[in-house]
Amino acid sequence: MTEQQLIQACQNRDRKAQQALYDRFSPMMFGVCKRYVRRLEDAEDVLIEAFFKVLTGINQFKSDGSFEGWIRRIVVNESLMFLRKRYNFRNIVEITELETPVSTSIVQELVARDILNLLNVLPVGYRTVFNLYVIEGYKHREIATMLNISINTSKSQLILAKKRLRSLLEQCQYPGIEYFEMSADEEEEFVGNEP
Amino acid sequence: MKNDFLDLFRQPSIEQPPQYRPSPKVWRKLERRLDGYDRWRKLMERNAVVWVYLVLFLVILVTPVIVGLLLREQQQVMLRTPKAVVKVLSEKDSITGVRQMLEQGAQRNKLPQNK
Repeated sequence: MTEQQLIQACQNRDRKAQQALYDRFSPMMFGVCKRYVRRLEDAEDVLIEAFFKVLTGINQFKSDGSFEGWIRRIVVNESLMFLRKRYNFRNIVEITELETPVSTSIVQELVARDILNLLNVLPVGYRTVFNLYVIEGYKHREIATMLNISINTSKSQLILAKKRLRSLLEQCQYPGIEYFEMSADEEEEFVGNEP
Repeated sequence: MKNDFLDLFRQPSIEQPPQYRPSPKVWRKLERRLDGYDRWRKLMERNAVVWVYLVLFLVILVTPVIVGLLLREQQQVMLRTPKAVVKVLSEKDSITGVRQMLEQGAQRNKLPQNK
């Protein structure tokens, strides 16, 4: 079944097609949820809510864009809604700027395919800004609006997240890490204006 | 040339490591929510149909009553208004002004024929 046929069947509320769509996209979208929401149960709740919105609002999808991108935006928005309910990003900024101790056992258990687990070690503020900027490609201005924080806060959170990740990668001696550029260019990014 | 270390986090394969597959209960929960939503939607659709029929019924029931009332009121108004007496004027009428008017009218009628 092609993606277009699947979408059409889902628009007709065909339950089997809805399940097929869920089976096709849920593993990747669960990965997206997990990047934002640490607890597995919470990530599953976010995934349910997001797919409920996808399947009940599928008529709103305009076929000129990417379907996967459309689902992804819903999943990211749903994850942010979940985080906003739990955390006030304005308040957590001050706290997360403090160094939080990292358990060495987490670092020792790291293997190549678990690299994304590093994000779970980051405080929620760092992690959310990092995901939105580095993975989703949002601008600091957009992130600031989404999280109700200032642009400079978004920038500083990103710098701190990068620093922390870099030190984690060095600690765990990730295989092949020597082939990656680890020098910092964040200062320029922070002081400068919105790109 | 070295790559940016952030590329490590951008790898597509990282987004779906095998241990991150959602459990089967997630679909069951989602299916229950979808069932509930479908039931609610059907109920809403049925309610909408009921409302349409109700409005139609009211229109069918009320319209003749309103029309009947209007006609009755109109009849009553007509009954209350004194009847207008229409009199056809003729040349035999003795009123001077009327006679002159009729003569002038007759002359006007004749004029185009002369042309």
